[in-house]
Amino acid sequence: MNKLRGWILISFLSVGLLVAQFALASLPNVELVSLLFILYSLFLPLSSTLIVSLLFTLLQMLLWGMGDWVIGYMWIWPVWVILIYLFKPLNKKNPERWALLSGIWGLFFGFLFSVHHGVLYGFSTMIAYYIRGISFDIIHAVSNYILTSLAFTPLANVICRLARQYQGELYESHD
Amino acid sequence: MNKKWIKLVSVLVLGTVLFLGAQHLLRPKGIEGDKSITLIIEHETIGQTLNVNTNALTLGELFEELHEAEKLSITFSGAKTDPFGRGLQGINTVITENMATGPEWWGWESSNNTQCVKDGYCLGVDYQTLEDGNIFTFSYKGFE
Repeated sequence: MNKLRGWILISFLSVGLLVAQFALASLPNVELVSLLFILYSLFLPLSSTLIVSLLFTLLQMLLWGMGDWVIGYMWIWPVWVILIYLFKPLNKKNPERWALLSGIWGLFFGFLFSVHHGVLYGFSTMIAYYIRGISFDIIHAVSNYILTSLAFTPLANVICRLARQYQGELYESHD
Repeated sequence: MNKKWIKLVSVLVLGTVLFLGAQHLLRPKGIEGDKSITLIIEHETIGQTLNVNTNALTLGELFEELHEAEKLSITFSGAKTDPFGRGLQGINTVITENMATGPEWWGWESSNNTQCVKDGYCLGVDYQTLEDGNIFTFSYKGFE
């Protein structure tokens, strides 16, 4: 795939994340972004998915405005992307394994954000933020698990077929 | 029902139980009894300072009392049972038309509420408990 087509793809995938995030914004901690990153990893190399995660955060900043959460998203989503690629050889295309990882990630997300708050505002803020957010971390974990269980296989089939058509190569080439 | 659906429903039920349990256990408990609270509303047209005595446990309950007594006209968004409780949409005539997009919202802070000081931020009106002598300052602004 040539460079221009690669950048067009990265741009569209970043916007796709933004649309998915915006569509479910009214449901606290229910999101498709974690699942979409898993799906992107099926046909993109790590470097491209990391760029997508950074562009996604920048697009969100343009939509919602600058806040301390932007700095958090700048490192927390890349952590998820790296985790996905670490587990990719183990999970392959097993929806159960991805659902489990995604659920654990949902539970872990709030902790990472509390660490982020701890660095910015101090240890007591970190503890308060984490404790107050535990119930929402549970929503995040359960919704991630269910959404990934239900949607991984059908979406993976569609997205890999489209990627193959667009890229002109097999998605497995990035395993 | 096949095995997959049984598993998903089980996770959903377990998650709901854990969520409700965590919400119940972690919800701040209010302090009973009479309290003297000062509300400072910073705004060029509706700005005022209110000193009130109340038995309300939370800021949300206090606003309900003030609304009923017609001392302030309060507009809430959402419901008490929402995960974050109700949002403070408007005070008197200054109302945020769209709580999702703003561009300006009512925010509040307190220099002497234990929780606000300890955590570095105040909670939503239905979670923000009151202590005798608390001073809350409300301002209407966007996120910068």
